[in-house]
Amino acid sequence: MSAAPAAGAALTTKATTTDKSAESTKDAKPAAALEEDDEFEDFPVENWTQEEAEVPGDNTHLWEESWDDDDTNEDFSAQLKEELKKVEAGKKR
Amino acid sequence: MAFLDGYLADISQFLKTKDDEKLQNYLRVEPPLPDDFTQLSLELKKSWRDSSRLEKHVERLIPMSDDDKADEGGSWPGFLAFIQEYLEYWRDVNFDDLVRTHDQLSSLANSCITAMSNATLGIVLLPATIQLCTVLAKLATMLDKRPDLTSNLNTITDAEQGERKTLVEATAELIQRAFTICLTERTANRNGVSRDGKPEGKKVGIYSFANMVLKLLFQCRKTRLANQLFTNISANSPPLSLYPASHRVQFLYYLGRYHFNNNLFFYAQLCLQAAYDQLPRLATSHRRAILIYLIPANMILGRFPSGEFANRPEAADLLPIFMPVVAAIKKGNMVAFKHSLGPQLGNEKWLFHHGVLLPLLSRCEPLVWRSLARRVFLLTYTFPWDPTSNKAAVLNLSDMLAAAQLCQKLLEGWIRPIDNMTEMQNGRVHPNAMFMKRPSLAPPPEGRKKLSPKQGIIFCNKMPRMLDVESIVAGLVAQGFLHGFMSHAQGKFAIIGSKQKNGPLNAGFPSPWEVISARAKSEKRDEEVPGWIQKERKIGMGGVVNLSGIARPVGSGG
Repeated sequence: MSAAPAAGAALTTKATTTDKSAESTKDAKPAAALEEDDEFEDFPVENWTQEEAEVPGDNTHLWEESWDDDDTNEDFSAQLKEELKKVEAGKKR
Repeated sequence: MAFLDGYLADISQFLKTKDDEKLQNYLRVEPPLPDDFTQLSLELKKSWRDSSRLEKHVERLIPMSDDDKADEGGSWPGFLAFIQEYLEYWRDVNFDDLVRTHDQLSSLANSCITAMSNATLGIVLLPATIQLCTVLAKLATMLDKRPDLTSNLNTITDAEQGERKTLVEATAELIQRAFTICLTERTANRNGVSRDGKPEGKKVGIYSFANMVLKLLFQCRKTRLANQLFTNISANSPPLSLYPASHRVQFLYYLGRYHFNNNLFFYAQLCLQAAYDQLPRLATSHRRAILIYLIPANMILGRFPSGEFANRPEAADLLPIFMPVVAAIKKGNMVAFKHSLGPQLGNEKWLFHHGVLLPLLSRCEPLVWRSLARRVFLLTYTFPWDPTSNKAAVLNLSDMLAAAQLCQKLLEGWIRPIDNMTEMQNGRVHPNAMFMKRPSLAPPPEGRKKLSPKQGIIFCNKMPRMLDVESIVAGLVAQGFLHGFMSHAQGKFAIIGSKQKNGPLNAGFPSPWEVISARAKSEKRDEEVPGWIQKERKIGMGGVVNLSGIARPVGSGG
């Protein structure tokens, strides 16, 4: 008996095929999309080098740490200003 | 008859030469397979229905190893039991009945793991065990999504065992056995690392099995069961960095999610960031799967995605979900914050499904309060004319109360009634409108919107009172997000250290990430993450000393 080449499709592929046909009717449901989101598939290759993981661009500033927004010219600040004025007026009365 | 004989003779040869790869190829369990397997299956069906006859035949063709030839490989009783069950599997399997196939595969995996556990010879079976468990795990995951097939099975299990253990959970438990065998194997070298710096013996398989178990536990949402696995890894595993990239990334992804589930966001962020940084740049779907948790973990810690993510395809559909929350936190806009996580923007279900909705709602809320306090301060504080003034900068709590009440009113749908003084005919506005007092917000004529507990500022439709605001401000001070002290008698929050920090804004409202990361550093949480082995274990006082290379158990010979 010869050693076989790497297995291509799998038992589960057969299962998923039946799975898909069964699910085709409820594809429209968002739940199916949510389920797919959970998948963290196995990798096709076991190992790779760190060079393959390097993304061109700025990798050191992925996260904004100082983000305070001092702009008070938007709608929420305008409404807030108005309420605070009333508090001020109330105090003076 | 001849085919089976040749097959068994080959296997016997592989055992002798310790050829684990060829053995793995011979012990496959799922189609498509070469014709040889069909032939084997047909022969077994035709001539080997009697299991006891088959057992004797296997014993005859795969002789046990000779104890005198220690260097040479060979067979052992556990292996023979496994091979017999393997042949029975090919004789009886029916791939159209997936539930039964899962049952047969579970039993086969169990006997394979038992065979693999043999201390001296079992390692030759490690790749085959990984292969078998991988197929079993995939089948269990698939069946979990088909309750129509497993509904009968569940009720039977319930009745027999009196407890609800799903098929996925039982499979995870089975594979965890293989994991434990690899993890706790006694090795010649300390810490399970050989001289060439690689994991020794069966320890090579630790993360293959761990990742399978974790995937299944996350699938059946029983992540608390992973606790034992991580504890055991912390005690016995060689460093994770010695394993292939795919093992590392997958493990760090699940460990990060585990810490996230346990509200340990600093650890979660460290694990998920490391997983993200090690992924190939083209693995977009994996990178996206990590960002689903990495972004909220960072948001909770007070760090937001920078513009760099705009160029990354994996973040394309995630930024529209998270950025409205970020914008609301930055502005201190509690109304926009609640809406960004509520049904208004349509992301609530997606966030809830991934288990990030409630952490974001409860953990980011203090950040919104901090920004709101900062905004109120910015709008009300008058900077002193005299730069040498020693008067402390203060935030009036009554102003904070007004801001909180405004947010609650807006959430309840309060509206500003039309002012007949300023609104004139034909849409014209009174020329002096900006100098005229505008009417206050009033509840909508159809009644205030009914809010759920989390939708309201405090709780449902409860209007915030001074006591609520005081406790919120005190909470922010205690967490370090506001720097100063609160005077209940004067109804003020006073900022400390304005001069040293170059102004009251810097002094009173430190950056949340700085506060959180400084605390993590002071508690040394940045040095070691539970479950993630970064350095080789040092054997010191109180540690378990591995004597396997020095002393042998009584009666083991040698």
